This record gives sequence, C-alpha cells and structure tokens, in this order.
Amino acid sequence: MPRRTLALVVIGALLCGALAAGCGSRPQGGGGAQAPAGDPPIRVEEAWAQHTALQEGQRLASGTNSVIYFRLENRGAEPDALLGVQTDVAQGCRLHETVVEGEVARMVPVERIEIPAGEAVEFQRGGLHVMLLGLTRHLVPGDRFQAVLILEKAGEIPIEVEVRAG
Amino acid sequence: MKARVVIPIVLAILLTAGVGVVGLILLNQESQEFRGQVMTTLRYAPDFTLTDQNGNPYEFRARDSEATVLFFGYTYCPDVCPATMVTWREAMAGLRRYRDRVRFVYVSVDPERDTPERLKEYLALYDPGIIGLTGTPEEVAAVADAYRIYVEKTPMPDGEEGYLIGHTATSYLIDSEGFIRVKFPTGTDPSVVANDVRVLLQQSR
Repeated sequence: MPRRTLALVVIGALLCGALAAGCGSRPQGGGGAQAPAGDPPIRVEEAWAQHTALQEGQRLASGTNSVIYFRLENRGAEPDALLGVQTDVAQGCRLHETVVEGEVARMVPVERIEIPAGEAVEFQRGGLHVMLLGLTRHLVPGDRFQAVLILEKAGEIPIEVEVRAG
Repeated sequence: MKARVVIPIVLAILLTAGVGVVGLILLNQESQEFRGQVMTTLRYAPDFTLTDQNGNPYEFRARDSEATVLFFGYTYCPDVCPATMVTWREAMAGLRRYRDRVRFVYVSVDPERDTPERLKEYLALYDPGIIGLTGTPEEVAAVADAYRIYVEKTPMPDGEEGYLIGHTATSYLIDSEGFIRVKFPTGTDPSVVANDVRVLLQQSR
C-alpha cells in the first residue's frame, strides 16, 4: 500500500509540474497545427515596425528610416522567395540583413530571401529585416499600416504592420 | 478509500510547491559574476569632450561615475542601434535601485546628421536619461579612434539618398577607475547588462 501511495505522489507531482510548465510557455507560431486545404501556403505572422516617435505631431526629419520584422512561414510543398516589400509609409523598402563581423555591424542588401517548403524564416533584430527608407510619416507605437509583400510564386500578400516601441 | 486518493494528491501538491519555491529561490539568487565578455587585458577608457543632446559641452571622464555603459551608434541606423537602445531600456528597468549609480552614454558616429536636437528626440524614444553626445566630424572621429571604434560610411544601394554606417556595435562597461571591464556584443540580453552593472557596483564598495 505505501509503495502505491508513493507512486501516486510522484506521478501527481510530475503531472502538477507539467501543468505549471505548460501555463508558463506561450504557444509557438500561429496556433493552428495544420493548414486547411485551400489556405495560402505563405503565412505572415507578428509583423511589426520600429517606432520613430513617441507621439503624433513631431517634426519628421528627412531621411528618417525604420524597419519591419515578421515571421514568414511556407506551409506549401513548393519553395518560394520574398523579392520585395511595398508600403505607403516610406519612399522605399529594401531587404537587408545585418551582418556582424568581429564587433562591426553592417547592413547588407539582399536581393531575395528563400523560404524553403515547410520552413519558416524569421525577420528579426540583428538579422534579416525590411528597411523602410525615407518615411513619409512618423511611426507611433500602436499605429498600424498596410504593406504588401511580393513573393516569387505566391505573388502579392497584403499585411498589416503594428508599430511597436521596440 | 477516500483518504487513499486524497492523501497522495495533497502530498503531490505540497511536493510541487516545495520544488517550485526552491526553484524560484535559486532563480532569484543574484549572480556575483560578470556574464558579458570580460576584458582579459585592461584597456583604459580615454577622456574626451563632446556636445550633449541639450547643446552643452560634456566632459566625459570615466572616473566621474561609479559605472558607465558606453556605445557608439547613429540615429539613422534602423536595426542594430535601436536594438541596443531597447536592450538599455530594459537593462535600466532591471537595475532598479542601482539605476542612479550608472550612466548610459551614446556617442554618435554620424555627426553630420546627428545634431544635438536629433539626438534628444531619438534618445527620448528609449530613455531620456541616456546621455547623447555628438560634435564636429573631427571631434567625433578623434573619440572613435581613441576607443578603436571602426566607422565605415557606405552609400545607399541603388543610388538612394543618404548613407549607412557600418560600425563597431559593442557596448562597453567602464568602472570608476576608468577601465573597460566588460564588453557587450550587439544582441546581448538586457539581463546580462543589468547583472554586470550591478556586479561592478557591488565590487566598487
């Protein structure tokens, strides 16, 4: 009997622990396990842009830049590639990658970014990013703006970008 | 029958709680060691004078502060420099009661575009307590040289207006005797910066 009690205690403790751990971790990705048939193969998640002002109404210095980050997931069976981005909030958009050699950080233009079938590509700080050149207006935290991703096969994908304070 | 079920459950909950408490205590224990890149050869942080974001001369002497975190960047930098500023903002928040004993200093490597006003606007996006410094191109180049900061101006691709600057993107933690003690490469976690500042401050008294 006591042995069984002990076993139950241990199992119970493990279960409680697992439950607690489960509460602490956030679900990864978009939530859905499998894309239903007919869903677009390219999914864009967590699109956000670096803020350039804390409030509306601030003077916009010419040549103010910002940057968009997101996660691109290819759920299709074919590889695809991101070729460019368009948005009204900037005069130009460029695909860039930050490369750190030794202690020196540089931005290198990238012509296309491959998204292999069944894989995801993260655009994030210190790595791949969409550079917004010459903003036409300030980006204030909480703002949202529209952009269009241009993919080689999937074509144009409209996205909504949230402005965040970093 | 009932007790046979209830007792194990109660014991299990108590055991989980016990493990959790011990875990939390271990997690919250303050490290006494640096977690950034510790300098193996001591380098002195040279003095200099530049202009701060309010337009006033700022004499930088490492020994004037118990601890200094120093970074060279430029406000038109879209990726690495904002990332460092976000790291600083979070590190400052994590420092809590140690916050007032350390200064964070941002030196522009783009004096042509980074006027004091521009620096003021920019740093306010992150923390107005950050000291922003700029000057004439010659003044800034001399400071960058003294700190062995690599600065490389590159034109925009496709002939667009403006330019980018490749630069040393490391932050330096300097002690009250003026020595660079720890380097934080770009992408260092804010908790590492906060930890090392606190460890340095605890050593200094």
